[in-house]
Amino acid sequence: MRIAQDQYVPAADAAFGALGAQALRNTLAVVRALYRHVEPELITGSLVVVHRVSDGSGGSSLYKLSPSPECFSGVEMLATVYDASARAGAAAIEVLPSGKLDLHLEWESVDLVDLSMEAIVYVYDGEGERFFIGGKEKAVYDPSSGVHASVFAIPTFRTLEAALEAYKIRFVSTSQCPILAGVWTNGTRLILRNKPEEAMRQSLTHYLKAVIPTTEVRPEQVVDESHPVDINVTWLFTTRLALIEIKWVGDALTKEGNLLPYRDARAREGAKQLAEYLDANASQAPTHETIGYLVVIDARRRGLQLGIEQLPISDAMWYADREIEYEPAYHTFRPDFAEPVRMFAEPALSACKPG
Amino acid sequence: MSNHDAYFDALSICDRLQPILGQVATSEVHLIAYLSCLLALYRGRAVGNWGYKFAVTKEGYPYSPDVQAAVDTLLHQGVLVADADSFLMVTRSGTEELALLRSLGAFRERDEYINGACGSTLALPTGTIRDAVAHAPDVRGALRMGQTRLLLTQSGQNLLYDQFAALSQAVGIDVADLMVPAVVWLIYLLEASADGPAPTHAPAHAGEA
Repeated sequence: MRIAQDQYVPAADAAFGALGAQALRNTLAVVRALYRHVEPELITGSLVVVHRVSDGSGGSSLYKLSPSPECFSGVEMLATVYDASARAGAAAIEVLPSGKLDLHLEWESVDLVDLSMEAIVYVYDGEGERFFIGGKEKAVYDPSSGVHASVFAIPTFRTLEAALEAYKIRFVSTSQCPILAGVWTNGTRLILRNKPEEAMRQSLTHYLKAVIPTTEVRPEQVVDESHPVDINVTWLFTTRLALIEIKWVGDALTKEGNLLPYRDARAREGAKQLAEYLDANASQAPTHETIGYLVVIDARRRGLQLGIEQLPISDAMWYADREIEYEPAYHTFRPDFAEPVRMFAEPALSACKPG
Repeated sequence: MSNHDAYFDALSICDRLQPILGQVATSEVHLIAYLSCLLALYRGRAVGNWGYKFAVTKEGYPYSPDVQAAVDTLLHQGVLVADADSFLMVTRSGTEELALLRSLGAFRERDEYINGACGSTLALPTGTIRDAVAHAPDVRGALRMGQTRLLLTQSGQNLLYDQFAALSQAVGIDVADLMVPAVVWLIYLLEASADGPAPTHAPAHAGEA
């Protein structure tokens, strides 16, 4: 009962019946489509999407939110106009009965509660996202617990490669993932905590489970007697399987308080391990199409010593574009070995000084 | 010859999911078919009238052999096509065939359940829907047994009836859009599962899918 009262989906039906449910569907489709082109994190101002609940008659804008809105036949074209400048301000999109979209930039603020007496109103701003329906504010259930800016922009990837690339950019580079944020000794993001592997595995497992829903993702799966592979990804109802081995390179603080540096050799060791897992898996599961992925979390810094809280930016970012060379380069001659993915984890800006 | 209910369902689900998800995975067709069947149960329809059965895989996923056979038939006939990653798309002939099937009226009621189930993907990611369904009393009970077994047996239905009774009090049975009870129920399952993960089988050997 509480969910039915708090959430926006039942509110649309309760307030407006069938027409409300259809207006909500149309609104959600527009929001989801917009977020395929515009990352909600880039909206620093506010966005309102309004859909009047009507019987579909009339094609023109019913809300004079601004003197001269720009009309679009689809979201794709609208998104090209909804640029950085527009995203920093207050924008409103009206979904017309015809299905066309009116974009209002710098519109005069109206009372959204009043507006919602005859419309479905979606709002995204600095306070997050919510709906106003039938005169009441309604919550949006967020299964990601705040990891993603909008539940309508939680990525769904169809390939592991795309998911890993997005993970690298969105979560590893600036340690956005709450779990990954905890692998560092402090906010400078110069030195890793002792044994950060488990947190890294947990972070990637959690992420893959959320963004590739057509798979089963399991951490620490036994492949052979020596060592479990970090993550096993199985595509449901297929024979496709991926084994992911995670290695980190950088400097970690040991229990004794010393700095333990790991460099390229560790990554190459991971490649060898992965090749051995693939060989073991081939004999254990010969009917499966298995691909191995080596993921290297790169936290290397140049000239790092204990006690240093800042590095010249050139040293802090020295390894940002320095790829690791593998010998043997399994990915060049084994069809079951994907190209290793190196994910550089940047230091905090506060840890960098000119030089 | 494939089950005609499963044939329609698979085609309708792909057609409705495609504009929402872009590409449709076979596993998603099974998931939404199961959710559609539950919506029929919610409306008081007998599960036996659905036309085909479901089982739960050891990964906790609902699966129907009839739905799988229907997908295979649709692919063979060119009504669906699969890309290199096995994602499904409805072809033009598929769209035309579906329009014809819908015009016949025989599938109108089940299409309403499918529409409601597919609508839930507008509000929640499919991964979240999958997580929620893994905590459905029917599925959860089967996972605890550690077996691949049939879903929606009489005992499974009894477990669902209690939840659906409460759900119908909250949102009504004759609600205009079945997306409403679908989403409310899925959120309920997710919130209830926050107290503990769904039971799973012991981690398989990496080669066992």
